[in-house]
Amino acid sequence: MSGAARRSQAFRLPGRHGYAVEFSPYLPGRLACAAAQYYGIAGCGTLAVLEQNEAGICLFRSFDWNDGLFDVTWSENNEHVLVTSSGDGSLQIWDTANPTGPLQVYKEHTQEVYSVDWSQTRGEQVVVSGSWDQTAKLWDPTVGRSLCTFKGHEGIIYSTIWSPHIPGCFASASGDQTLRIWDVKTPGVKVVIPGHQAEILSCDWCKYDENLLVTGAVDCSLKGWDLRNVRQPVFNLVGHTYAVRRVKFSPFHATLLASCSYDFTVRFWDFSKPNPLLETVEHHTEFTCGLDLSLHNHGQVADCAWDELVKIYTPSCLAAPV
Amino acid sequence: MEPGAELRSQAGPGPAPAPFSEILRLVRSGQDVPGLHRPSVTASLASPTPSRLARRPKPWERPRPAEPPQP
Repeated sequence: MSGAARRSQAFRLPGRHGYAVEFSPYLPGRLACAAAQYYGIAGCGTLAVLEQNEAGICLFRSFDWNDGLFDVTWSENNEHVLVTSSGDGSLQIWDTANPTGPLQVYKEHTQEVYSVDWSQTRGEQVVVSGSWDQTAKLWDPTVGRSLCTFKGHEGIIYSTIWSPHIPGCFASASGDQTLRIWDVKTPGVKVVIPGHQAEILSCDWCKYDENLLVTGAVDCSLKGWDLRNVRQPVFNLVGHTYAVRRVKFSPFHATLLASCSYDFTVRFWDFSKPNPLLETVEHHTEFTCGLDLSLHNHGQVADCAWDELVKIYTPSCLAAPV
Repeated sequence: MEPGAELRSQAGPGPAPAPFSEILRLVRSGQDVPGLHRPSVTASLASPTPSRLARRPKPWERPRPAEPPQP
């Protein structure tokens, strides 16, 4: 159950610490990585667009930015376009076919922007950003000024994630120890869940149950939340030995999730099982911050860590049955 | 600084590049960090390359897949 996963490939970004990875929704094997020089506390950022196949991982293109990059999201209506969020408070719009630099830079947040997400529902093309300035902002990616600013959190926002089912609905995770649910049609928060007695660093929505979310926190746990009854968690997953940095629900299975942590590991869980921890992957030597599950290749996972490495692999527990 | 950063010093062997604690010390004391790269990138304001691919349905937008694999 422990150790290195099978079929694992690695790519090194010299002098760069990986913060986030995301698979392209259009192109199997295309992966974006948002990274920063010097752990994100000094120097520049780099967006690396990688291409993975049977032979290995190569660099398709990389772009530098003036400050560290902390998150990346792919466009849902153009295979060339991605958005990153930066330590200088700005968002960048990039075109993988245009090497000259970002198409647009949108600066409104007054502190680091730790999260950016492109809407997942069919009818909308909007982006939500979450910042250390305690606000989330809604953007039309073709417009330079935000459409709306969402205030309410009393601490750093670490993660802002669109519901894959409910149009205009997103969740935010914060250092104020709450998970909040927002509707873009109203600037005030819809639901406040005091989810942990510790900072919540990540959240995600179940792809097969529109009422279910997961949070990952500095208390090392993952907790599940049903929006129909938020007074107590529907599951509590323990195993990580340091803060949980990112959580992702499986795109293919209702009860499977993945998490990465400052304990350097990536873990896979099935919360419907009495022993929910399926597998622990220990293949990094630094904080593991980025994690994504492929929408195309069943069971394929990407992660990145402060050890300069991006890894793409299929853990045994997600491999298709023989 | 992220809350977990305080744990860095307990977290095992240092990486090949300068450790987090050393970079933090340099930055906080206002000293130069060796090898720092500060480009001056600006927006091109160009239009995006036109898309040629149709949006793919997400796995959860299709009929429900088979049972999860047994571990």
